[in-house]
Amino acid sequence: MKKLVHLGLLFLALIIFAPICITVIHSFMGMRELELNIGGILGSSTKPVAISFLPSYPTFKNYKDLLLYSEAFYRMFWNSLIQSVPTVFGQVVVAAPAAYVMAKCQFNGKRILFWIYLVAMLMPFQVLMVSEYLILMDLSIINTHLSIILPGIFGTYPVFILTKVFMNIPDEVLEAARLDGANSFTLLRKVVLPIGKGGIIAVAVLDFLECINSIEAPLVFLKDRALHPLSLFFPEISLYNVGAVFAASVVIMIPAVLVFLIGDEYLEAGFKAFKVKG
Amino acid sequence: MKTDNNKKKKWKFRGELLFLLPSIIGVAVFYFIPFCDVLLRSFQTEFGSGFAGIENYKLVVENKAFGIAVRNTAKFIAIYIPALLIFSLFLAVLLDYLKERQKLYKKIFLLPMAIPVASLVLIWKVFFDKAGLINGILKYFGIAGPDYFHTSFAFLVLGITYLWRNFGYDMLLWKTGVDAIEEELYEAAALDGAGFLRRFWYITLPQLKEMGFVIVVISIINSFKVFREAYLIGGDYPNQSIYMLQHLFNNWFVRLELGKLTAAAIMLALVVILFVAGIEKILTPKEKL
Repeated sequence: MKKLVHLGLLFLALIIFAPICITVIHSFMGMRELELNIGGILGSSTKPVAISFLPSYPTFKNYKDLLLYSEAFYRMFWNSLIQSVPTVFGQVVVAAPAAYVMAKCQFNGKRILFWIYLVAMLMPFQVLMVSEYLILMDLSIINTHLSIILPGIFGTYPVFILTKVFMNIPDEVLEAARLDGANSFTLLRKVVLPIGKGGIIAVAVLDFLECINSIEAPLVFLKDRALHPLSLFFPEISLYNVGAVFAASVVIMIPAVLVFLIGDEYLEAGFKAFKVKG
Repeated sequence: MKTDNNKKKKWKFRGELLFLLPSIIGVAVFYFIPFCDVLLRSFQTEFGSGFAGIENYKLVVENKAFGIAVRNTAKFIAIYIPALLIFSLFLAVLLDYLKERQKLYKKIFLLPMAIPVASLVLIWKVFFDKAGLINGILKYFGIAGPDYFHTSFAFLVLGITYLWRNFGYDMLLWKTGVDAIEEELYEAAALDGAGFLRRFWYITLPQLKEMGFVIVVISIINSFKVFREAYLIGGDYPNQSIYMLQHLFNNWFVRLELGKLTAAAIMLALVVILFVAGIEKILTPKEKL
């Protein structure tokens, strides 16, 4: 029985890996071989698509073409990082102290505030798009990197998760630190943040994956194509660039997959915070 | 002692509220004020500041594209969220039953979450194009496959992509819930002679209720983001079967039909707010609120 389950799960794993592996494999193929394999979908051959699992003549040419000759791609890659890294960093800096207060302090209007945060978290981007556009225009940061970064920093999803994480910190721990003379700032820095570290990293990883894949906001707020991030890289595909596009697909994956591999251990720790009971 | 306590509380209160301030200001500027602005605009004539009453709302309700977009969005949520929840719960239970190599499977199943939409464009074409891999396999069995991107099959491709991306994440959440169930409950049931299915039905499921709500919320947030995959499949004007509310909003935005856009936005927001009000009790931290 267990063997059967393993078999099923392995099959599922295969389905997950198939698109990723095929992309990577084809990024190392030359134009001839690509035409032979997938010419059918490019209109340059009538043969059905055939996939081979190893390139017959592996080559780095696609990557060279992409990285050396495509200035646009290079720029988009940097745009992605410029827009994602400060957003994630800012989100954690803003959300962690706020979540600590939400989780551990009492004040009037807390319930309403939490409710507003919850609604903001669930609101689809398109609902606020018009007015957000106008506000970004008033701040004269529309069509700049900041128009993506600033609204991103104040997303409420991290506050929501971190509130759950910090609530698991026992009150006694905070009380003890306070009796030792720690002020609020020391308390946050020396007690709350270290204990909640796993949850914070989990939030940062989730945020990064979200930012690097962001399509809605850049599409609306960045008119200037020179500012577009990689998530908007949708080139016309032809036989002459298909190799480079395969290479691009791989390069686009790299930052996200790297962050995922480094941080996925913490994701689980972060999720544990959702354990509503206990 | 009592006064001392009071003093301490006051001091604590003042200091820590400052921690909340940046977040509150940001949320006000980028969420709350825009929302009020959208609300106001939805009752105004386009561009002008004239009061339009519910004229915009009437226009939206009568709009044909709006009807299509609402139907598609609702259909997507009604079909694929339950499918995602059931499939991921099934996997979580399987994983729990296995007790071995859980970490490896979790890692593998979470991977799609990390793959940006832009890097899937080409490979999805390889798979789902009319002359693509899947139709090639179907042809082998003598079946003529459809054109997945330009017919109503696009809805299916969108659903599969949504499941592919999200099932690992949901599975991990379910698994966290399953792990939190006390072992004694199962042992007691086993002593009573309850089989696997009965234990699942009477112990596992009820214990997962609260976790289930959290997963539903996350799945709904992610279903709004399926616009990204739809964009990947069809660009600005995809096949009608995957024309979602988000496409409509974007197109109205480009054509500057702000009256309709804001009115529809408020209607969508109302649905979200009603939904939150319905499940808020489960999501807000229990103690101290």
